[in-house]
Amino acid sequence: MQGPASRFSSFQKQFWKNRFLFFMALSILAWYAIFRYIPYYWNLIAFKDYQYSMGFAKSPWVGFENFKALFQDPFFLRVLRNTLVISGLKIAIGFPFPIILAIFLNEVFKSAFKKTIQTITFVPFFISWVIYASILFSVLSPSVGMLNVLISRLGGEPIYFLASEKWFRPILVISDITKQSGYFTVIYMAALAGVDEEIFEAAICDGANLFQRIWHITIPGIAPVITILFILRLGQLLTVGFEQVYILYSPMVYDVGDVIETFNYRQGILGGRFSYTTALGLFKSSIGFVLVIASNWVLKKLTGHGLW
Amino acid sequence: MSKNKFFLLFLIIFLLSSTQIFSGAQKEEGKVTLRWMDLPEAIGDVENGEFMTALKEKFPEVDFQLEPILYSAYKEKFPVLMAAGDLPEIFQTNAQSYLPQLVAGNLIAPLDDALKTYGKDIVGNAREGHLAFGQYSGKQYSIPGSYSLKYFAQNIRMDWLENLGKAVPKTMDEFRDVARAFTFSDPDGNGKDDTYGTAFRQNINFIDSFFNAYGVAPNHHQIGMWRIRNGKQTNDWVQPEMKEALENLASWYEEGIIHPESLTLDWNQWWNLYLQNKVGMWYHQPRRLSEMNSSLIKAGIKNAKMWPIAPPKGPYGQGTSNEGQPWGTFFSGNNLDKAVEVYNYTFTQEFFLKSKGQLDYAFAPKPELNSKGWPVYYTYDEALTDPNYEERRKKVQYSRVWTGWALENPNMTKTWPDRDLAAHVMQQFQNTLGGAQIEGNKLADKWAVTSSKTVPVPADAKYFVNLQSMFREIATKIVSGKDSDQVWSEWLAYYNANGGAEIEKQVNELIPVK
Repeated sequence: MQGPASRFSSFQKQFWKNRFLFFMALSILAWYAIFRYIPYYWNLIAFKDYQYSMGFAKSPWVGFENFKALFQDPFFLRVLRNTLVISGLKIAIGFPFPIILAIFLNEVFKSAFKKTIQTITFVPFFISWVIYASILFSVLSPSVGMLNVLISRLGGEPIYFLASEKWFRPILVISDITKQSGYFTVIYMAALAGVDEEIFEAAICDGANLFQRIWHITIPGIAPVITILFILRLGQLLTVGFEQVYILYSPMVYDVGDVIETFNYRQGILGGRFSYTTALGLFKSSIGFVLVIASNWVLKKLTGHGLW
Repeated sequence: MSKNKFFLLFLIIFLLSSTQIFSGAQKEEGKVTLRWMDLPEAIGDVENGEFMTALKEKFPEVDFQLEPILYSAYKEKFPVLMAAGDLPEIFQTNAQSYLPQLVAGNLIAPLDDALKTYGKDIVGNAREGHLAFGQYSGKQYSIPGSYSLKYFAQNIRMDWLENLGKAVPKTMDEFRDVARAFTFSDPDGNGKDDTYGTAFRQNINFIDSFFNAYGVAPNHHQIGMWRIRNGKQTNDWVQPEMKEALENLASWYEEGIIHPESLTLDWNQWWNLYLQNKVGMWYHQPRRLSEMNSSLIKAGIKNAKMWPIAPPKGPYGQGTSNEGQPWGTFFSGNNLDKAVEVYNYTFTQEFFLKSKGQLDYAFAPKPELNSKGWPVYYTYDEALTDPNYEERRKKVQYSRVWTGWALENPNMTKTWPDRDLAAHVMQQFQNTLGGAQIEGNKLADKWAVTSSKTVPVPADAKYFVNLQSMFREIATKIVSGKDSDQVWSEWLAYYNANGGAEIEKQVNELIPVK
């Protein structure tokens, strides 16, 4: 067994040998330190009554007052409910979608068809939400949108989709799936590529049908990737996606579409309530942290796979 | 090159660049630094424009550092700049929302003393009554813009009225009748069902003439409209007449005579509906009518004529809304005397000539001066017909800094020694006006309603933004057809519990009823 002195000497040697790699890593670590870890300190604003004139250091300490105000705010429950519902729908419907698509593509043997579908589903990922939303506006417009023109021609009444409380959440979920699923499909396809072909051949020889091969080979083969992505997604349960909601929503649909991120933006950036919104941000991050720990623990127990 | 030498070279470059990054912009030795924040719609070559060239010549001891923020990003960036305490020496903002916070945070300096010594032209050329918009707690905190606040009018497509054989509407009922005809009777004769009576913008913006018929108004961008009722300052947002107006607007909306997307339209989408010949009534600035009509005519609508008319007469009144308070220029307090001296210079005759008249925010001077060396502005007809006008206007507009200087201010040249030049400048303004704007200005002057709350109060700093956001939400809900009784009672409860009552109390204490 090596002693501490020997281990340090070994580290020194390793360091000097790989000094260029360490130096390259330094810039990445510096980025994390400057933009991710050092700002943690300023989360203390959540416990202060931040005043422009006094700055961060001199603003008075108010303890949990901002959190109290948050939990008493009539809008907090609304945005929390909307965030959980929209995010929950996105996970429930949006998370399995790319898995199903990847498995489907994996079972389609004609590579040209496979590549075509993959490209079609992947391209929207590279379009910004601003562009994507303008396409949605054009398609869903109650006066000139393609969908409403079709509805009218079929004898129906045009629907103001983006101003309808009934339709707003489904639009968020569907547009999110169509935009993002191509990206995750590629990840699952990459994981599927790592599953040994011989196992499939052996299963076919043993008489396994398509469904049995998917259930007993494909899904277990990509289970670690599914688990990791699921844990990470759960950590983002209170993150709906600011850009998407901000671009598509209006006061008409605040009751069903105003989420923590858009509320935070209006209160913090437009309203200048920095302490209050930092408290909200801290609450959101804490929930995300607990969810990651808890889901990792549960999934490790259930499937044997986890983040750590 | 060996690995070690390469590593060493890389390290040196890295450290040098870091030093450069962290050193920031170097101060020019012995110079006074003035950071100046402007809010243009697009960023042009301000640094080398006539405006800055004239200033740099006059003040060689000043190191001007321009900090433009696109107007579209202003609402996001300004509160962050305030929070960071990083406001420049000279900057502009709309006083109503931010003045109390700026004063409470010691982020701006009172200007009374500096104006006495260095601001004679600012004070001498101010529009009548406008300096009061920049006062707070008995001190002068900003230089308000001197443009006219009475610039909104009700406009209607006269050619559509003629096509349908309709008279100019006067009452609310007549307006509704015309809106129906515009929607259902094919006013443009194209054989398609593709037109609407009127349209407004998201958050029930730009339809104040409708509300003023009920004796209330959301006001420009929902900054609030206050009126004296029973000897007290009261907020229109919570009056029963506001509920009635919203309910009536909802019935127009339900009937389909308002463009269905009005509840979500942004500025460009809204403006384009008019340019696409889709909507017949328009509430906005007559100043833009020439642009609208000329675009429609160029698009093949030969007789297109959107024209100002009197606003609808309703059950409780008639009127249009003023902008409320003009945008103003503020000073952080660093190098205050020099900043005010520089700013004052932009109001002088010397600067007008040196900068070749590139001051007014709306009108562009021609590249050539007249025989006396004085700037000449494009006339109304020239602006419509000169193919180079638009390019010139943009170049001028985006290569100077906004100061609130306005040709339309009758006092703008009051301190200038050359009275012939002053008369020439005033004549230039008259030349820029077209028939629609002259008529619209008259109507705006006649019908404009001014909020009786002329300046913000301290409670605005804490409550205004949330109340404004909530008002937008409830107004939208009622117009879209939600249960108005329930929404209205929730709004009143929210208003009273979240600062509305406190703002009203302070307004009544601090802003005397005249």
